[in-house]
Amino acid sequence: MLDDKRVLIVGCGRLGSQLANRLNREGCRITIVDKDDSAFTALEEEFQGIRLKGDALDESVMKEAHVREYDLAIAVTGKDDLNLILGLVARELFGVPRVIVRVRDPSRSDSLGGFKFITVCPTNLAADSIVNQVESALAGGDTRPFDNPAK
Amino acid sequence: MKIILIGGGRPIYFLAQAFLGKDHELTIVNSDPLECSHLAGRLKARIVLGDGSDQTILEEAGARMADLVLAATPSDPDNLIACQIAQSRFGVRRVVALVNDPDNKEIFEGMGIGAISTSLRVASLIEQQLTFDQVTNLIPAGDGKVMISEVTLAESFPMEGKRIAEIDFPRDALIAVVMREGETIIPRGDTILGRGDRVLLVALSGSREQALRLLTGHGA
Amino acid sequence: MKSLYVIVVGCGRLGAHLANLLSQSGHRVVVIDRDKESFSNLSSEAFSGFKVEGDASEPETLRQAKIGQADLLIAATREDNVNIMVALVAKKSFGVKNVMARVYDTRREGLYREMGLETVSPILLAGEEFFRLVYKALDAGGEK
Repeated sequence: MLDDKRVLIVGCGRLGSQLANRLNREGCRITIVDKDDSAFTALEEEFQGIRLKGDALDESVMKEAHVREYDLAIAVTGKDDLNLILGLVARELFGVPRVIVRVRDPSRSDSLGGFKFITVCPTNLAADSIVNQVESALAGGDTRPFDNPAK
Repeated sequence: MKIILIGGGRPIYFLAQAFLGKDHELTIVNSDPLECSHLAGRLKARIVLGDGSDQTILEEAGARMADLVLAATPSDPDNLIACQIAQSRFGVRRVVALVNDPDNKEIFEGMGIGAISTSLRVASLIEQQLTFDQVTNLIPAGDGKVMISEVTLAESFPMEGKRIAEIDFPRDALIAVVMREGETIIPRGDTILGRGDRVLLVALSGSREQALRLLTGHGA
Repeated sequence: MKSLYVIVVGCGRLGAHLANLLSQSGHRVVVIDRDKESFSNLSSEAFSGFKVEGDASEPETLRQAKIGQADLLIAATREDNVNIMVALVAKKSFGVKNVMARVYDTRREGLYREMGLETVSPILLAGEEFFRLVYKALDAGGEK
């Protein structure tokens, strides 16, 4: 269903590689950037996208990345600040219409409204998932072990 | 036996020497590249660089064929997980962990992991080696390849109460004389060593440590 | 609503955030961390619980946190092995009924399940969320 959608992913860590592999299987055309070559070993053999090694803010890397137009950019490096900057670059310089960034610091994820990015905060997701389990167990007056949400 | 040791520092070094002295096939897993190259240069063991609580590293270390996995890092959690993966994923029958906090012994044993409390055993033994006064080196001989030492047998030691013939004593070491309550005995296979005995040990350097360990319970 | 006695191990982003949320909704919360600097992640408004400085892989630290009374323990340090061990000790040695461990290395999740532990993986949750959002953005024409 996502055939031929062009997606730029910056950061090939656990999250970035997971997304790249999955979106690749869905038929997306992916460009993935990481400053560390060895990060690409997390990509599956079937991965057909472009691997770009280097600092995504470096001009030459940007030029290489920019040879395509993108439908979507995803910034999932380990640094919140960098992800925000990358999001801005993708939107303002590359004109990518949709940008999703990872923000680890929950206090920050709330104050990002101004950027109009779609944000994902793993910390919030995990906390919410745990709190939900606690509350639903309590609402049921139940002291059994909580059900695992992932199952 | 095929043995995998996980960890570093003095405990691993001494354990490795002890196992190698008995002709076991040894693999050491250590996460520090510098220490790995150091160990590789000094021990006849296979060295694997990596996190011993990682399944792929354990597999690389040969966990599938291992008879014993001994996890001796300074982190109890790492030791626990390494042992757990070794037994549940690779079916290793004997898994032993050094337990840094003696309080954790129970939880290890509850999971079928042999637990040695480091603070009680290895650590203190290794420290004792540094202030070791049970052994007096008397005479180096044969260009320094042979050492004659006097050893006082104290506390409990592996050979205690056993006939010398029963013991797997290293080939290149010999208990030449036993001094007991003013009596001097030339030992035979049926001589039994006891506490308070002083023995003269003649040993080639390669076997000395193992012999001392049998006589004292720790290395030198 | 019943108030729970909750121990949160690890006061990094996730641990502190959870401690704040749970404390704010009226639960009694104790946070454990090796590094007392990390307690600065707690919000002075939201958090009214206790702090214990110590290594949670030592049972004595858990005793200090009165683990015997805990209804729930959440192990949320940065180290998977520590989380798993603390969760195991809480469950097996101290009989805490509800125990959750955060997992970084998702390949190990199976092992943890075999040990009877509930796990939470922020990475997997984030992956799902990303995927959902990507679909929404690309498939439905997206949102700006």
